Amino acid sequence: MQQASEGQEHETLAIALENVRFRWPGSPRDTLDIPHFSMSRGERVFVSGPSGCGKSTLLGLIAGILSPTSGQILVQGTDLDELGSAGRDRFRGEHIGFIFQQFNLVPYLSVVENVLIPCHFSPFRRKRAEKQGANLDEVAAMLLQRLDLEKTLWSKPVRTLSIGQQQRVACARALIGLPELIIADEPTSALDADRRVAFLHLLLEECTSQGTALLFVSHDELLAEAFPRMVRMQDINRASVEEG
Amino acid sequence: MGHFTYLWQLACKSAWNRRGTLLLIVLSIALSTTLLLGIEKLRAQVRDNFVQAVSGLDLVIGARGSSLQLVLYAVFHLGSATNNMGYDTAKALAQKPQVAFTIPISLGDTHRDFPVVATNAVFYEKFRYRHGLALRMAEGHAPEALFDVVLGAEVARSLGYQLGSKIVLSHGQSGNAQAEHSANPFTVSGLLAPTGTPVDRSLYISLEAMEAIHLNWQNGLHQDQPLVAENLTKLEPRAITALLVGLKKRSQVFALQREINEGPGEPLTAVLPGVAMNQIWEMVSVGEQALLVISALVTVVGLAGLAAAILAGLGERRRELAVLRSAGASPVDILWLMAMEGLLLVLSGTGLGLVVIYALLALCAPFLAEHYGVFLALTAPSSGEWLLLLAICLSGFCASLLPACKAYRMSLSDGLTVSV
Repeated sequence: MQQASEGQEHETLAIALENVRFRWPGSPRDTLDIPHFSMSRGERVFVSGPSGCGKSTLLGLIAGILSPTSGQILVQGTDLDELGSAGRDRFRGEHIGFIFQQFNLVPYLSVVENVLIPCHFSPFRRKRAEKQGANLDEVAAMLLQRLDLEKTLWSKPVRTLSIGQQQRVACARALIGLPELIIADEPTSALDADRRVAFLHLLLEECTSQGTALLFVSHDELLAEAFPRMVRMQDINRASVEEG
Repeated sequence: MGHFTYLWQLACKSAWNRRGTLLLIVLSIALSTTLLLGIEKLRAQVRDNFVQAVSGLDLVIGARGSSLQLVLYAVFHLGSATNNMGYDTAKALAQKPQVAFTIPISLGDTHRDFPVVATNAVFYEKFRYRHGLALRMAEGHAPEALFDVVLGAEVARSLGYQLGSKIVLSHGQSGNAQAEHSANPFTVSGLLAPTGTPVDRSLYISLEAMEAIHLNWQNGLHQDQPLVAENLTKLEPRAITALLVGLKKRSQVFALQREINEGPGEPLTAVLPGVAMNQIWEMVSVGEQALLVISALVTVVGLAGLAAAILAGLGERRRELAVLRSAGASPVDILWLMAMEGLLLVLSGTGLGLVVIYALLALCAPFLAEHYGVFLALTAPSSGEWLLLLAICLSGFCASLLPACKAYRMSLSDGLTVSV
């Protein structure tokens, strides 16, 4: 790793993008052109923007699913480009939790089993989770309780849960094993308006108490009030393209 | 390997979640397995039945000629008559010190296209088939009166004869009405139990009866007449078709064979029946291999169905796989998950097929033995059958790698979310 002076500067950051450009193969224009974007460790940032502004592409880059055409992306001080694709898979599993708009759960696993998936794929997350309680089941139970999911739901098939309940299970899964960063991509869009705020507060509370950085992406700027910092895609992205 | 245990659990739970669709795949693999194993077992059985049409016999002796033709005619009663051998020669051979017993047989007549075999009492006592089984009378007894006849199981079954039925033999191979021995009808005295050998398709009379019905046929003219008392003394045969020989010590067989084949006196051919019958089997086993090829093709179709069904199911699993990816599974994990599902399906399919084939065997074996003389033993799979099972499992696993690779590529391009 080439981590001289500039590397150390980024040690304190959860995410750092420098001169990142991304262009889909065959496309005539850049989808993303971000001269600079960063997030401190433990910071909670709201990213807003209409659909087609490159949000999904940005998340794909930070998650290491996509590689930038040029520029540098550091997550937790690690240059994703220097990890191979297998390395990026491992890094993602260890350090990033995800919550998507819907269909977050594996239908044939129980609530607790869904929460524990990351611990089975990442020994690193598992070790950290085991330090949070006596055993993994207990840690999952603790998280579910803190997210207001009653015990009677835990043994039910996940498809019988309401969408709000499913999103909270997804939250617990993203949080288990103390990842440093949670990426939430429109996690409230499928919820009723009155449930959105409640969900958001639960998520923010847990991120704060775990010291986890939260990158929250939504088109609904009403939710931004709860965040200390809000970023508009069009302010950081110099390329203005329509993209799905 | 805790990781693989977890993947295996995931694969099992996921498969159970889609058990409705997957059951069909398992059934088709089970069917292929049943068919392949069933044909393999039947094939081994038919071969055994064929090669073991006689057992415990060391030599088949007949007039000099082709050894295969001699065995075909003497054992399977197929083909045309070779020359006869003298009955005196046969009696002399029976006196040799190495010889334990001899069974003379005389062929030539038929009844409704079933061959008629003239022999003596030694046949009922000493004839063996299938690794040493003795003949058994289902009903009645060996011929006692001159015109008694004993029927093989299939003859009795297909022609509907019972004890006491009167039957007329025909001269030669065809059912020519001009050449019937209608003056001397035979009475059914015994019915043999099924053996699954040419015995089932034959009628057995005494050598003397054979002589008796041909007394007036010397000139080739049809002079079918009832036997008269003064002729009773002339009934010792002058010639027979072949002599089946059992030795006291098997080790002496080659010496005796050489002695007969090369010795002075009447020109004879002595054949080791086992060797000849294996040679004949090699000639007719082309059909057997075609059968195996067909069942192999059925298996290929079953496995192609496996791959196709898993591929078709990939669409609905896209989200599930993406969720696993976002929760830390690598594309290689997805590849493993799919491969394990294939293995699971193939293993349960072949397992079920194995259970079905043995259940079928247990159910049908008594029926087949009773009616067709086909003995299917409930033995553990032979090494050849294990190889077949292994081949099914391996090729099924390979077939499931195709959708696994597709899922791998899909999970690479889908990333963590599926836009549906």
